[in-house]
Amino acid sequence: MSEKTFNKNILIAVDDSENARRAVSYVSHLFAGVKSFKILILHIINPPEEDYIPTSAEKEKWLSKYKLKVDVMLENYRQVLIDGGFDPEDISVRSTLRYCPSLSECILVEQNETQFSTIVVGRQGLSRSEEFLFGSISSKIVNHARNCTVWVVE
Amino acid sequence: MASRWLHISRSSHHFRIHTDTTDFFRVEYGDVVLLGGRPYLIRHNAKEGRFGLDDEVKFWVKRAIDLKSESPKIIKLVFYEKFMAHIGGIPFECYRSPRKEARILDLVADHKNFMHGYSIEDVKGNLVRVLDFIKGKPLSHHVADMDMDHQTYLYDQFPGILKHFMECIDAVRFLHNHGEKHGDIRRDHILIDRDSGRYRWIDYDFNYRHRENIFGYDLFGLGNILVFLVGMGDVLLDDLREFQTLTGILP
Repeated sequence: MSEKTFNKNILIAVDDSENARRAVSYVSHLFAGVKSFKILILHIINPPEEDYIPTSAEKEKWLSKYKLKVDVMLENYRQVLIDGGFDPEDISVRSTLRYCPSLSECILVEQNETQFSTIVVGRQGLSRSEEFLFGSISSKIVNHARNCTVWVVE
Repeated sequence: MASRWLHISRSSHHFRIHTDTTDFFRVEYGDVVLLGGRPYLIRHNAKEGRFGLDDEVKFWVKRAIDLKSESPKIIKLVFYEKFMAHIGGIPFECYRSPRKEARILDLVADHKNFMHGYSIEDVKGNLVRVLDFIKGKPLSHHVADMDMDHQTYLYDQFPGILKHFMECIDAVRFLHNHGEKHGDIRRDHILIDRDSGRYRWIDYDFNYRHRENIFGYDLFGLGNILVFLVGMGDVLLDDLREFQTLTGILP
């Protein structure tokens, strides 16, 4: 029986929350000075539903403003890793526009496409009732991820 | 064409005809709204009340008469609003979308457990919804008006009510399977159609900003109605304490 192989590629799924920052910092501290790991910092741009923004002009405006914000956020996270000792060449950033009824599904699609062996996400810290009602991205990723390892950073 | 629907004191009434409904406050009793060449005589603003509050006038929702078919209609004019709602201290954002309601009206046109109607743009591009008037009272009133003890209700009435409500749950599943939320599932948003006896969902223009569980709030709403139906009304903590005091049984 062949043993499963894992690559040394780590996908960190982020947004602008404090939990995402913690996830980036965790990776930065854990792998400080360790060579050969490749990091992808991923942000899924999930625009509001078309019903929320009535006109396409407003949607375009929202998107261009949001993209500027995301670029700054991703560069900040990249810098955290560089400050932690990562070689800039080992870090890539990616923001991708997807219509996501479920963000966890979109993150898993990205993982499946890139075939990174590890996903890192921050825990939102939802209450039980909040998670029951509105759902938790990290819980869903843990439950539905296949062929990869998931780290949920508290 | 329209004067026969007006009060006799208004027989010399001069009709104002609206093709632009942007300012819905200007559309008043006795006016005619012309949509795609079809005239609708405006009667009253619709009202909605809940939780013991006085009925609140919804100025963008008008009772009307389709002057060609002479059938009663509900006309919903375009009104946008966004606000934060809370469940048990959990905040989430809600908003109205005429486009969503128009889309769902198309989707449920042949479904027996939904309100029916169509949408059309006025001359300014406002997406107006013209709804068939459903004769009948809300499920909430139907249950609240029952004059019997809970045990009688539970054995005699509840099974039939539940059977109808199951159809409504299935209807929501139909929406979800098509990627749509109802958005405002409440006990007074099911009308009992007096003609067919069917339970029918109304009001689809509400929406909420979902998070990971796209249909979470809809499901919460269904559970909420189910509890209401089983309890023959709201079961409050005080009621349970009183029950315990009287019977010594822990509910």
